[in-house]
Amino acid sequence: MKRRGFIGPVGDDLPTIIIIVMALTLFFAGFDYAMSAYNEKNKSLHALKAGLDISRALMKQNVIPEDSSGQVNPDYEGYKQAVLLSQSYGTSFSAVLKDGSCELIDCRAPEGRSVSVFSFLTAAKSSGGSINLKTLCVCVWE
Amino acid sequence: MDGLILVLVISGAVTMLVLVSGMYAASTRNQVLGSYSYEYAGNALVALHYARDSDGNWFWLQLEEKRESSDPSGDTEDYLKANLDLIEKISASSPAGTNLLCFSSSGSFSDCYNLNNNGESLSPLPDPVCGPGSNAYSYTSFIGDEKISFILCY
Repeated sequence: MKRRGFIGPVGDDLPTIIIIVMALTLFFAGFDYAMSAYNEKNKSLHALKAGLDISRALMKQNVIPEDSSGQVNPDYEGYKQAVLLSQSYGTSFSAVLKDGSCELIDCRAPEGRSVSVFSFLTAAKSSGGSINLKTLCVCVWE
Repeated sequence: MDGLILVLVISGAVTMLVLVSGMYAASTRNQVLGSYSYEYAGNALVALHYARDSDGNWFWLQLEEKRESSDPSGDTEDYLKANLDLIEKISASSPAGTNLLCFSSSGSFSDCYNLNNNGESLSPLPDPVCGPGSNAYSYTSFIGDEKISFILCY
């Protein structure tokens, strides 16, 4: 025998179920938003810490020695430390000495990577022995 | 009714999550700028010890001399303006839009020079030094009997 207005055990609770599903969707969407914001910021803090530590290693000496091409000498102790630090952070980096700003710099990073660029005013010693003020551009990517 | 109460509670929780994540994002941005600027300004002041001016003299020693003259403000401004290549090199390397070189002897700044404006003296000194609404990050060292601060304004 059929009862009028009764559409089954689930059917009777359907309005409540829809509201609960909507509420849970809203909650998890908000939770996902908050988590992605948190992860993104943590990632940028990790990149910052890596970038600053690598830069600090590169500027271990007040005057950075250049190689014959005018770039940071790879035999320089600070550069070797920067390589080790970069490996320990799980990042890669490139360091370029320039006369102007670090804008439009070619970081030589693989395509599609998010690159953080840090610039510092530094004194650099050329292979000829002269000391000049230069901008040290440090690019760091994961 | 229970469902509606649940929706209200969850909406409140989501609003809280979004607000807290927004606050976290804003605080880390300031942290990032602060650490980087402090590092930059400290290294810049060290690097200036190795800079030579347009006459081939040590920039730091000449600056110290200007600060000890009878007219430190005027002499410093003239000296900075006579070495625009160096001033431009400094401001080009900086991550900040405005870079100030300030001097102080008794707690408060006596003179400030805008490196992004050819070393122009800031007169009268704005309060706060970077202007209202801007954040200032600085590193302070000594030059002679005075303190010298490299200030980055964002």
